Amino acid sequence: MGRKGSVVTLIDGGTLESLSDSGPPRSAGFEEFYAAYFRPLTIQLFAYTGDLATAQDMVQEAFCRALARWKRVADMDDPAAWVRRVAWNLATSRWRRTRTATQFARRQREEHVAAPSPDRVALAQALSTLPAQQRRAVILHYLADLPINDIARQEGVAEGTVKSWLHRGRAALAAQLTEKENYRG
Amino acid sequence: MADFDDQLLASAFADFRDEVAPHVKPAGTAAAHETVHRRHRVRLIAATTLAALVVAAPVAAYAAIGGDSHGPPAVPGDSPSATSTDVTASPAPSASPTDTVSAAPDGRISKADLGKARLDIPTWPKGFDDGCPTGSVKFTDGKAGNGIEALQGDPVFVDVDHDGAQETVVLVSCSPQGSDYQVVALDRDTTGKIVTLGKVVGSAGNTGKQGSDIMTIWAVQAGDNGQVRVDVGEYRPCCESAQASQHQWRTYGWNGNQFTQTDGPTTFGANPNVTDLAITADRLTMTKQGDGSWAGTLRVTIHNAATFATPGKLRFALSIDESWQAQPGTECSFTPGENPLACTLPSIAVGANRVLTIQLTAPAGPLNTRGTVYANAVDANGAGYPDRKSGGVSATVQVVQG
Repeated sequence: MGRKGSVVTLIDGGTLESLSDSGPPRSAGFEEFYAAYFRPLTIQLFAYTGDLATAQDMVQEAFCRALARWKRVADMDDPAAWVRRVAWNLATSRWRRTRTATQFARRQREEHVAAPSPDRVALAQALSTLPAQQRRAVILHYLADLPINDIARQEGVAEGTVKSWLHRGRAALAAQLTEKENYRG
Repeated sequence: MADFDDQLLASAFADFRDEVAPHVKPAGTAAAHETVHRRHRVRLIAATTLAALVVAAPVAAYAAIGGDSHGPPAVPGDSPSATSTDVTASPAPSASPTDTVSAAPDGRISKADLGKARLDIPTWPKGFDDGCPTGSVKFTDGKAGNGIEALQGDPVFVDVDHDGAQETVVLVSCSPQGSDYQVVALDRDTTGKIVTLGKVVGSAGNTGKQGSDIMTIWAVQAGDNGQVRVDVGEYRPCCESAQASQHQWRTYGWNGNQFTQTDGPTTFGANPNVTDLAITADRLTMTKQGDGSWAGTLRVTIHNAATFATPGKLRFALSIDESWQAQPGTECSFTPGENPLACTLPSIAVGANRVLTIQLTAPAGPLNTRGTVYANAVDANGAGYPDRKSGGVSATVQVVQG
């Protein structure tokens, strides 16, 4: 349904281009790769974690790891899948949990990352009530636009399992969102 | 309803994406280049420092050089489990937004370090677990619990949780009576302390089902893409039993909460070390001799009903009253005084029979009217292989007066 196309419309190439002009020598294709996937990935992980600053950190870390081995990653059939898996693995790994305390301390000294207003994150709040597996499946389906088999591959489970997660996650989310609308109405 | 839900959610997520997008502030590729260069520089400094130190404490070395302390590991070509070359500490302060993004701790622990470490050992299977230490266990020379618990073989290093740094996976055994096994994944926390990620797989123990459960673990290998390959078998090594387990490689992966099997067979196939023997004894007719003693000929048939030749050698045994004398044919030689009387014979081919004929004499007086014959396969040390009939293979000899 054209969701792939909507990912491309999110690219903010101008800002990134100006950054790369002042930075170190470019790695061929990395800038374009970063520009195309940083924002969509961050939105996915924000939907998963509910924390935009952490999501940005994790996606930046995933891109740093891609850059450190860029020649190899660029030669892959699907470099985007590689960086997506690294970012999601960071989100679901203990790496993130062990960093929570230091992140919190750091933020006390830093300017807060501007986050979407609470009113706009109703979906994120609804997502947070889902079991992690259902939440990942729903986000990968609706935000990353991944087909079932790709989600199954990333999650390391059977396609039937993903379908089950999606079915349950979709029903639960739809119920919550409908209820909220009715309440407002 | 499902279509309606799908449309509702597609719309909600599209709105979400549009609303969140303006708030995303990429640190930029320049920051990524800076981070990668800085980590590379730290690594070089650390490597140089290490080279200058003739004696370096392992923990200090770990803290200094992180992921490269053991050299660059092999990285699967298309795998995101690529080993991180990142470091935890940076000696060069910087204003880069990514400076505070620390890499995952290096979870590679050498065999020597493991052998003298305090490890958090998961629970052992029920049965003989009383003597098997669990929880925080101090190892010395690779052993704990008065030597009952031991680290087996070399640890392997795998990025099981895909955090960019490898963890350590090691096989641990406990042998209070027979042996139980478990494969344990270990990591380091941000302070360098060894922590247990989880049990990859363990043997089922004395209460498990021989022949179908995982009852022994032979070895561990690093698989591709953060997977752990484990060589498992279906018979618990114990006591006087021959080693009947097969070797079967199964693959396990970390799903964020626990290890689950991700590849390889889930059941054990036909096992050539498990016999399917049948033994029958013809009715034994004992005839009274001129001096009042008794004599007769016992004919025993052993049949191999398995789809494999019997492993090792065939052991035949005869239990009769101790006052009797038994003289088998040339194929079998009893040791006098043993009870039961026993001898070993060559393996039996698939579907074949082996027939033994034994001359028996009994002293004058009333006859004991019963005896028992047994058959099983044994290894070179005389230890028995299992049979499909878990109770053993035997038959009663009916004795009649002729």
